[in-house]
Amino acid sequence: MRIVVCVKQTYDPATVKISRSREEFDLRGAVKITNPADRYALEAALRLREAAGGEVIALTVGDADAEDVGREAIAMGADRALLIAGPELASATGRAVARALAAGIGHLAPVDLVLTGQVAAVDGAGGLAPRLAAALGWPVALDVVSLAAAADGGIVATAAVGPGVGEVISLALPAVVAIAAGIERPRYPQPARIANAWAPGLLATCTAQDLGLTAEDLAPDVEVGGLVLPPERTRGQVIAGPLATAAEELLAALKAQRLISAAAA
Amino acid sequence: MDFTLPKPHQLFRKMVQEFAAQEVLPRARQMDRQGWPDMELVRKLGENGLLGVPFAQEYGGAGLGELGYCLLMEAIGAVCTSTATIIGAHIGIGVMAIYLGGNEEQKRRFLPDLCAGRKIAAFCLTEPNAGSDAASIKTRAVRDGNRWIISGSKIYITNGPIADVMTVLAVTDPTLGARGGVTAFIVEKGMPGLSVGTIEHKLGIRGSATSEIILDEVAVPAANVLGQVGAGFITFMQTLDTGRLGLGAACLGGASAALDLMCRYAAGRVQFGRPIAEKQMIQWMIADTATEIEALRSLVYRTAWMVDTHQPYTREAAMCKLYGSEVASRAINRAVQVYGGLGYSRDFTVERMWRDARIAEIFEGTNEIQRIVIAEQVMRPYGVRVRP
Amino acid sequence: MSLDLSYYEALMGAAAAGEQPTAETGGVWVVALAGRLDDGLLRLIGKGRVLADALGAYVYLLMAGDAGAADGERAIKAGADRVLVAGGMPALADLVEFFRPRGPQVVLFPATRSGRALGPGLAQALNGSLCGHAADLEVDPIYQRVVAHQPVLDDAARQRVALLAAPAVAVVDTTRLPAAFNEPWRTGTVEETGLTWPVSAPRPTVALPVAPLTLASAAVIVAGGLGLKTAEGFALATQLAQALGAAVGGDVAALDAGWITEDQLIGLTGVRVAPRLFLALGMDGDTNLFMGIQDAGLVVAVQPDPSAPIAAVADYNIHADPVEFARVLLGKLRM
Repeated sequence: MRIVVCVKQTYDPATVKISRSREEFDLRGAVKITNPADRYALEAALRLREAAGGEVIALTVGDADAEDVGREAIAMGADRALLIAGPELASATGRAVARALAAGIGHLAPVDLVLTGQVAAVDGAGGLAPRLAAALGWPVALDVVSLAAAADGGIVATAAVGPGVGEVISLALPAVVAIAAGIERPRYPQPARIANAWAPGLLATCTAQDLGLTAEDLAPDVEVGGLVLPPERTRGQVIAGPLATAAEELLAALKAQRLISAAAA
Repeated sequence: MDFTLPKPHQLFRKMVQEFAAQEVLPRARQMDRQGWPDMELVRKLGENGLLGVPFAQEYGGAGLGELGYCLLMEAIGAVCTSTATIIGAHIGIGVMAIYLGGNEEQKRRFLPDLCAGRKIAAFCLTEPNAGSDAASIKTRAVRDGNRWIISGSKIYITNGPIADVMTVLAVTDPTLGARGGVTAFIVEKGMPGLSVGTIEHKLGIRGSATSEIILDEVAVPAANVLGQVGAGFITFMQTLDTGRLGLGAACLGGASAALDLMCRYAAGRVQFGRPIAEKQMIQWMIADTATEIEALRSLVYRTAWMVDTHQPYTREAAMCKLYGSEVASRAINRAVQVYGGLGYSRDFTVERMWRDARIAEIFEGTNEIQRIVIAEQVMRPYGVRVRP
Repeated sequence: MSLDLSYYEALMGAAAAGEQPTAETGGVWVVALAGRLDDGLLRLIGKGRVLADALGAYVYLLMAGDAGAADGERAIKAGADRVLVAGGMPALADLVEFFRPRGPQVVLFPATRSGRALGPGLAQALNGSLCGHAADLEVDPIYQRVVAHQPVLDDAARQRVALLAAPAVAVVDTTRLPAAFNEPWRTGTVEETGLTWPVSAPRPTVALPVAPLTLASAAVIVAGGLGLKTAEGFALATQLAQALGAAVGGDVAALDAGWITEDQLIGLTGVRVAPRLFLALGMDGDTNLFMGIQDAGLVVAVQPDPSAPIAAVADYNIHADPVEFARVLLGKLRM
């Protein structure tokens, strides 16, 4: 089975601040990492390869720094990586990224299964897997927490549909599956694999033009603007009055801020 | 001069920092309380390839060199000195003695299991009457055909109770003294006559296991002689040098953790209406600590580079150990002071760090010995001969 | 005197003359995939109405599944101009085939499982634009285009995402939208499309392991201190936590009193927590506690003393006996 895992470089959310005055992200000191959900996708791919054999290829789109993500995937266990690089791709929006990834997958054909992380940290919206599936013309499954090879050559995916409840989906290949962060952490890369991940021949780089993508293909579909900030935190407010009204006022405020479920109040 | 880490080492540092935060830190308090290593954690260290980091891949190591080893020790030392001690005794001196002094057959026989953590190593040098004066050890090895019979006892052996493979220094010719009269041997758990003696109850690093090792006519095959007969002292002294560097890196981690803790508390603790971070005395403590840490960091990583580029490093390794242990002690002491009463509480981390730090100035060669080594190295070109 | 509608007619075209809208090209579409129109979908229709009014367009609802006639009427009262009814559950190809000839301007999906799978797919297939997770939407008056507000950094803020290409598709978290309209004077049409998409068999379900609720990962925490006075008082905190699906914690005083175990201690010497909601019952607050809850979202403190240290730190204070307040709150939650 040839499995392609789409991995993305994002910022570590713990290192990203918000500038209230400029209404934008403050990226000073922000650290670039592999998107945490993508590591779960890699883990799922590696387990599938361990069970059913095959090849795991990491695919990433971005600028030159994105190579680190491909190398980390190799260190974790991927057989090789492909980086689609270029300045226009560093700022590409969702539609263009999906097109570039689809072209990359075409370049790596025949591919049986594409895995992605469900959502990107910091500012992801979870649209990549369905977009990619549409671009490829393949079926898609979301919220998947575990994968297994099926006897008929397809795969069986378990998707989380609610707390503690999963749905079993049988998928014929080729297909796109979005892996959600699960309970078990992905494996740590072995230090020996880390030492060898930069060896020649493991990571290939190509440009969007190499894959036949035009500037029009990569045109942005959205324009990202400033941030809308919640009101400043005001401490020391007092909810006064008799207990019953204070309790009601508190519950209403908590409900309005979606801190407690509507079912509770 | 390019001070950036090579790419693989940058990724390795990230990996080991994550491992330290997710696997080691949650266990640190319990290990200290129970006074024993967490063997589940030791198993995980082995499984994740962290017990063979500097050794060549052909022997089962990761091939990340001394630089990788220092990154490992810094990251672990920042969260749990006990774990760093276990790793240091295993990689830094236990396995290292075989790696530096062993022949090809011995390396192929022992290193793969040791690098994978399937076996744990210990380094047996110190005796009741031979601490700093290592040359006056009494453990005796007598030749018997193609075996050696070893009798004696070693004390303060880190990993002693959990080790499978021990490198032991014994006297083979009492007339020759340290130069030509002592030999290093590889002794394995299960050899009749080898036993674990008194377990040490320590002030700090209570999550590491330290004990006496008793050798009662242990028969060791000639194939387990490490290096040349009579050349054991050189092997051991060489091994201690790399061990010292790793300890310096662990101290760097501990000092950095202390600085982080100090700053967090000072920023949040309000007295006289303002955070204490706004008081100059606190700022001086922080500035001094930060400066010492930077100096130590440069020293440690430059020394690691010297090791990996096959330059002599005895002097620098001793400096790393000396300066590292003192910087860590000062930094952690200041952290306790900044935390005030809370710093003295057994319910909080800095108290454990304070207890753990004290040993660094004593073991792996006391700081007095380190000063002698440094003085000897510095004054040699001037024709001065320094003796302990 | 009759109203001069000439300006209006010029703006809206023939439709303003009082005819019911018939053309389906352009427009703001809302896609309901489960048949039944729940409150979330009605809110979405309302948001569609607001966008459509700003864009000068109509609101169409595609209702797939088993919907009743009553649903169609409710949709119109909520702001839809035309309701198109279809049967079954469309796959992506079906939706693409439906929408391609109609050239919608905006298509809104609710953030259900099917919406999250079909919305982005539709945007990609029709070469449109997408906001895959929108908490709100508005129309940029200068460019006359839809701008979605996408939660970022775990909803610490919202990012404005302008949708450049048509169709502008948004997958919307309907729980965050304003309340639905229910305007009895609205009129519209409900019609059958005649389309019946296949209904797939329900998939087998399986139990999934649930991550244990720990203090460090809990989204809501109820914590108790000495102000709860007795073990029975603390038990109320535990019951409150159960009712809210929250984790239970306490301070050093609660630990010393034996009401909590060591792993439930919150503070510098215990667990550092980062819940969205921290409810402190009977806790005065000290540096130890405050350093443990630095990353908490909203802090609510219930204790009688307005000059206690926690009063300045908490977002909301209720100066009352925590035991009595807990009883009252519990009563209201269980109602």
